[in-house]
Amino acid sequence: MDIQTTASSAVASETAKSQQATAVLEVKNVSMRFGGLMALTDVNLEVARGSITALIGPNGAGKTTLFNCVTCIYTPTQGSVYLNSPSIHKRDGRVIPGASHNLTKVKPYEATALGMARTFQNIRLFPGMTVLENVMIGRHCRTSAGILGALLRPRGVKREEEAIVQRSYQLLKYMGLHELYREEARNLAYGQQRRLEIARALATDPYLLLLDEPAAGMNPHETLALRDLVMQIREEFNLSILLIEHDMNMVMSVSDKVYVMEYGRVISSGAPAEVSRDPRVIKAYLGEEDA
Amino acid sequence: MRGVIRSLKVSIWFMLLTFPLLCMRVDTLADPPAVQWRLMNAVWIGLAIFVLSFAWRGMMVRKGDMTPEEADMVWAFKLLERDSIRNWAVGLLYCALGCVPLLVQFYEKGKLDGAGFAAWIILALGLVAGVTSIRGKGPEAKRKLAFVTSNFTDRPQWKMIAACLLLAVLFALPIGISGYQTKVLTQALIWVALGLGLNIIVGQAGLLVLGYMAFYAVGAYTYGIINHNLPMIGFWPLLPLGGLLAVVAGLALGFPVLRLRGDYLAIVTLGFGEIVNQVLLNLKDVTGGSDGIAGIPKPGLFGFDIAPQAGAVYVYYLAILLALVSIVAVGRLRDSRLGRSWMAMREDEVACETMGIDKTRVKLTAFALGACWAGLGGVLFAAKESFVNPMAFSFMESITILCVVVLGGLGSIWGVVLGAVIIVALPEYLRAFAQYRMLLFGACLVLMMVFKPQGLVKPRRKNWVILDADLYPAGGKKAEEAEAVEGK
Ligand SMILES: Nc1ncnc2c1ncn2[C@@H]1O[C@H](COP(=O)(O)OP(=O)(O)O)[C@@H](O)[C@H]1O
Ligand SMILES: [Mg+2]
Repeated sequence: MDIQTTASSAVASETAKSQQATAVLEVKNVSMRFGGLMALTDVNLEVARGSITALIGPNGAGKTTLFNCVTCIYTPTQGSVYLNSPSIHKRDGRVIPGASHNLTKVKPYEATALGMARTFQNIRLFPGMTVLENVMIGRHCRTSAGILGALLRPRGVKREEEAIVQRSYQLLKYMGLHELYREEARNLAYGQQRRLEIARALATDPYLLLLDEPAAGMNPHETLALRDLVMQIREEFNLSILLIEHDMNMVMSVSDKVYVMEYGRVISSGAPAEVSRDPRVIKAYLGEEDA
Repeated sequence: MRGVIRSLKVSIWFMLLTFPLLCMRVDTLADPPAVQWRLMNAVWIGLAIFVLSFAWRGMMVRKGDMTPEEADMVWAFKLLERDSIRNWAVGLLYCALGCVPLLVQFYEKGKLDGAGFAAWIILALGLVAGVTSIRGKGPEAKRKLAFVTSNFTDRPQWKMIAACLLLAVLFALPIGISGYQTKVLTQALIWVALGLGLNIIVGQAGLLVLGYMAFYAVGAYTYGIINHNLPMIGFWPLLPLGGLLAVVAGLALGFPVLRLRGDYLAIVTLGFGEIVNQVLLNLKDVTGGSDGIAGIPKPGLFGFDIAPQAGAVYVYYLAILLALVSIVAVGRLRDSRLGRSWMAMREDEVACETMGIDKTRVKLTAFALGACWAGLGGVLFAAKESFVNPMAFSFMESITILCVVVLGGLGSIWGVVLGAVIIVALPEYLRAFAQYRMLLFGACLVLMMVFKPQGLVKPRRKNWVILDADLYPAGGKKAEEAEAVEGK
């Protein structure tokens, strides 16, 4: 894996250290151009460690495009994205220090291995696989059995498979989907599919979770439950969350910081209360208020 | 270690003792009388005694005449305490017992005949007993309760026994049928392996490949060309080499087409198949052009020579073995972490990548493994025909093997087996309709597409079963088992 680690000079490592405590994800001056269309223009964004950061904006503002840039599905035309892994405290007392990873040349699967997971706006499960198998796929990047392991099935591989199943099942249970574990994913109800997608993302052991409109298509009751779930998984799995959402109630009650996008630019950011008072935001959402 | 040395000593003793008897023979007809040395016999005796002395000491320990320490076999008994190892040991022993008559027959007569029938019954029984105890379903096997099991753990025993009997019948068939029919069956078995290989690529990984026979050709020509130029290199070293070269060809095709999907992939791979075929036709110095390469020898058996007639039967056995290995291996691949990632890639490439799967790698392994089986099958095919030419690897053949997979059921192992038997064997037995063969074939496929587009057999794979008390109504059998598991 060719994951680039930045911070070579003393100054850079100094700043990296100070940001270590605060930002998990830093998007710096990112622009994305599709032919003649500037989908993103000079976007700057930070997700603080342990926070829930919301990204809102009208349809077509470029939110999903930003997600795709962050998860390395697209390579930004300009600018770069940094992912700062937390330091890991091993059981034997050793501490593996966190590092700052430049994601410019990273492949999507490598980004996932680094500790970032996402869901999709238009659900992308593996429809023909069972609910359990969907979550098991998430364990792929944390396990290692190869061709020989598959053919010979030594003990280690069998154990690994069982561990994958157990962990995946636990996650399903946590999401309340365990009774459906043998069902094909395509047979699930809409809300269940959304939760399954979150379970699958959690199976990759992320520290940064990106949710793309998780409440889309849900009724108010389900949305409330989802809000609680998001808060809960943040605590339980020690996550930082970047959330795209249209439901204002949810955004305002759940997030620590809000970014507002319009036409590919961030037009406002700050605490939920501040942002909701920002005239530019009101204008973007309610249309021009001629004065 | 001490045990090994002890057995070694015993076996050397025996070799020395029996040396004059078994390894020297005075040829009285020669003039002057000469001594014939048969050193191989000494080696066989040594090996047999070496193994037997372990068995002997093991028996003594069992009877209580010795302790494991006295027999220097503590490690062996430790190993045998593990269920799986004991089952394997017992199973292999039974299988070996079953195979002895086979080897003796080959050694003595160089061919099989009716007198070998009793031997076959022993072989069949040995296989049944062996395989059932390998699978842990022997008399003493206890069913282990575990939190995580699978739908295959509870496979009924009659299925295993039926499979073994079928196998025994397959083994015994050459006694009763003609040489020609043996050849047809061999071909069907080779196609089972081929179909399973293609099934990895098309059925499991979802990559439509049309030029599959190119890999088959790589295997067949590996044996043909190398053996033609260097006759001392025989079948056995070339079998893995053929597989390996096919893997290389698979990767060579895989790299450039990584980004292609569906129809585009089909067309490029079709082109690849044609290129290989044209190379075979036109590189006359090496491949013999359209005349091909003739006089490819049959495989050897531990250095024994086999009579030509028995050679065909021997290749048939190897084909059974190849088909068996393919069935087991492909099943295991399907139910592994790798197989799961193939399936995920087939379902949704973008989601699969974002879930941490290296798409490139997974695709290339599918190409490589699929090609590998074609390569192995190709080497065996060359040995069977003792002749290769480009006709056998034409575009038509690539389509036919794809039909095997589609007819049987994409992704289904038993479907492919069925498909291969139907498509290879039926036309041979329906000679009367020879003219209408392609017509029937096409009609069958059209009917299939209309009425049973998933193929004859529905694909099955490992489904995990979880014994969690929360899943089952209280008081039920499953719930009780689950509680037993949690109590452990
Ligand atoms: N792959 C692409 N090619 C061309 N245009 C794209 C592509 N992806 C997104 N866009 C365009 O970029 C803009 C932003 O889209 P998107 O990020 O999906 O908006 P949002 O998620 O905020 O609703 C839209 O105008 C969309 O048509
Ligand atoms: Mg969107």
